[in-house]
Amino acid sequence: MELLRLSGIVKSFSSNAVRALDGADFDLRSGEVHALVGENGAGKSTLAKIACGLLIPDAGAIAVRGRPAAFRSHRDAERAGIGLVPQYSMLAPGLTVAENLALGHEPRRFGAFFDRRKAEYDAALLADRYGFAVDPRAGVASLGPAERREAEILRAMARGANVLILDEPTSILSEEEARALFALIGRLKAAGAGVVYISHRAKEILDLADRVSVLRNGRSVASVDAKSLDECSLAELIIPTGACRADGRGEGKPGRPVLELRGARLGPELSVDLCVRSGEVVGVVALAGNYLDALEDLASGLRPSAPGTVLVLGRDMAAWPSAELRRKIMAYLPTERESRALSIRSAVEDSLLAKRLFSYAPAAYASRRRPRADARALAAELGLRGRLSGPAEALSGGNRQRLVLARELDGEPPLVLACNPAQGLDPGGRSLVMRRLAELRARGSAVLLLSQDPDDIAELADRSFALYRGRLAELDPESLDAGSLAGHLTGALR
Amino acid sequence: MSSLEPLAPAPPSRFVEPLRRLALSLGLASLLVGLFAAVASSDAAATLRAFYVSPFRSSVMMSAMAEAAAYLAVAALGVLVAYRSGHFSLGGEGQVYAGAVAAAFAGALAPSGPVGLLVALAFGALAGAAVGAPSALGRRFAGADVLLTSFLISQASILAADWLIAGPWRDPANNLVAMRAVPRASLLPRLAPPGPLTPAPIVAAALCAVAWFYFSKTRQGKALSLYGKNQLFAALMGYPVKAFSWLPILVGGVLHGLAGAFLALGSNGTAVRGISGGVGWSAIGVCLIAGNEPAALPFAALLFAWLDAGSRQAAIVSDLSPDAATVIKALVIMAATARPLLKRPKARGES
Repeated sequence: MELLRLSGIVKSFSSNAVRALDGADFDLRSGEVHALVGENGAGKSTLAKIACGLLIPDAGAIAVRGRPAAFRSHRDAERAGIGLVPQYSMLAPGLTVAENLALGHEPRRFGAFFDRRKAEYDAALLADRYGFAVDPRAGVASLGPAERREAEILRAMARGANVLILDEPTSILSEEEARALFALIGRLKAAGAGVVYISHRAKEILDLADRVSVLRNGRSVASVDAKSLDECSLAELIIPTGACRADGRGEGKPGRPVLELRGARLGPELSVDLCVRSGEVVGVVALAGNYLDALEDLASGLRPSAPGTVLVLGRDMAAWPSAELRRKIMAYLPTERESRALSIRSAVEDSLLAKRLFSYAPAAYASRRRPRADARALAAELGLRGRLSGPAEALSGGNRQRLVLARELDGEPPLVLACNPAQGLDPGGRSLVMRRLAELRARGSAVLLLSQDPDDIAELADRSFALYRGRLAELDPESLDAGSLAGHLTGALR
Repeated sequence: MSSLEPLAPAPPSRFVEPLRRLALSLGLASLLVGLFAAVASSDAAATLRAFYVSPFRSSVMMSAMAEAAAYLAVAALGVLVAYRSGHFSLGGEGQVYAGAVAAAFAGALAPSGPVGLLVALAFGALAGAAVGAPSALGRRFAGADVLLTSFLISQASILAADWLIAGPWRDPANNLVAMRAVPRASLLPRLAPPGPLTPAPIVAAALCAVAWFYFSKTRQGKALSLYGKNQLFAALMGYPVKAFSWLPILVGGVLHGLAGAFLALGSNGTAVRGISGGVGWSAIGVCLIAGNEPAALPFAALLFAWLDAGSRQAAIVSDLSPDAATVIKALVIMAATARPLLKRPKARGES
């Protein structure tokens, strides 16, 4: 049975004369998980907001269970059985789960007083029906991310939703919590609900979805059976590039050492030795809280290495003239891009051109013509969408990462320090990053890839290390499987 | 569809926000003047006439206003240079005062004439820099908080300047608590006697133009602005962050000192006790109203100068308190820097 259909949806934002949706179509059946994917800025969130009444479309039709519907508010959509679980929790933290579930529809005692017991009973009944573990009497502030997600879903179900729109539901969840969420989605499916699943993570889309619909530039370009896809073909659907995997591993022989950490101080009584040579990618994977951030600071020169040293091209990093090291030698994709890689309140083009600022002759810079042309070229190369003269803070997370990539991976830097470089990117964007890093390796750059995502390391690294409590252990690619990797990351195999 | 489709809201031109601030300030100042006249004056019509008409009735008044705006604009430029580079200095008042005292001292001792004038201006600028230097060096070598150090050193320098004017450098022949008069030939020349107009407004406008060019059209200016917004980012882009951490504070001191020198070498002819008269503090307000945009500084300074001149006139011809201008300026600064009032109205559907 068809639960929801959106046909020919058009939506423009008058403030910037942009057509965010240009005739998008989408439908959802009972008992199905339908993934909505697209590159950053493709129109996914706009379509989701229209489906749940948060935005009103300029044109197009909405039908719920075969009947035409017009949502003037989110409440209209709720009445029609459509619930939204937003990316970031919108629960009232000062209330309990049951109170949040009842908010706006409070059961009354004597027609006037809030009936807490009835609210808790209703919440417990609902949780039991779908097999949710969250305690209705627990305060929201005391809940973990996964329990909050459960409460959000329950809140939607409490309003009678049989269509659930989940926007990036795993973005703040650990792997284990995400698995619990998938089981929960499975139960909702079995109960006949339809789930619209918006995510950037190819693997979970393929694991979870029955169908995948792709939006590109506000238009629906494909709607396919998820079983017919793999990660590569999904990335290709999102951004057709012709080549979706980073290749070239082990093609050339690593050359001279470019980055050497010799007894560099990582923490109290902790030092690290690591060498990255030209033409190779060295990957370091770690779970949060295992000094990966300290290693990043050390390799980027933001943390003193004494009593050890950090050498770049054989010379102590501290002895390099800052301008030469930062602009000519090292490309740095930091984990914290907002504070380290962007001037968030400045124009996009300022952040894009920040590294080549002093390469312009004074007169050429003053005229602005060449810098603007360069900024446009850099942006176009990485598919950065956004007004170049607008502030960087107006860009989406994915586009911010593209901006950083466009600037840092321009040219052929001898050393690339890439820290969680694919975070926040859609599968197409991730594929682009991995390919670009592989290209740099092929051209002789030394790449140090630090990531919390083992997939990044597995895809690209020539040599891999696991970092556990500040100690590096080299991973053997021949005998490495998920179990042994988990053992290295948790210290069980040391 | 191009990959560069504009998805972000169209940014306003760089001058739109300062213009909006100026318009808001002017509108609010007018409203408050009307309100004060209605509430605090027995003859509202006379008060309003004095406020709006009197400052523009004679060339002497207008030149006095332009002259006052010049001191404010130069001092505000000092604030702007520091603010743009991320340093919040509160030392302007002491730097202006020190500049005035040093200029009067040097002007009185140096050979009379243009050389004396130049020497006096240079001393004024250097004295401002000297008062700013401890904050700048503290920032550079010890990471000291500029806000605190600049304020404390400024307060100390005000006390020192008071002591110098009233003590060892006092002119015993003068009934005022003032230093020796600077020879007429070493003062800023009067352009339109009997009015006090000197070349100071032209110099102020030129300095604002230079600052606009520096921040808008040069690589160093752009790098400094980026440093002001995110110091770590600037360091990772290989900018000369060590120089940026102290030099703008010193340049701010030079500009404040120059404003003080203009005060002493203009119509005052020397440094009297309390000569800075809040110029250093008002300069912060001028800079905020101008939205940190050098091109808007002269206009914001003129607005402040008009409020001062208008309230003085209103106090003379009616019973409005001269302190009204202070209250109005404070309210105007608050309103002109309140973000909700400056926000661009959201278009429907824009999130």
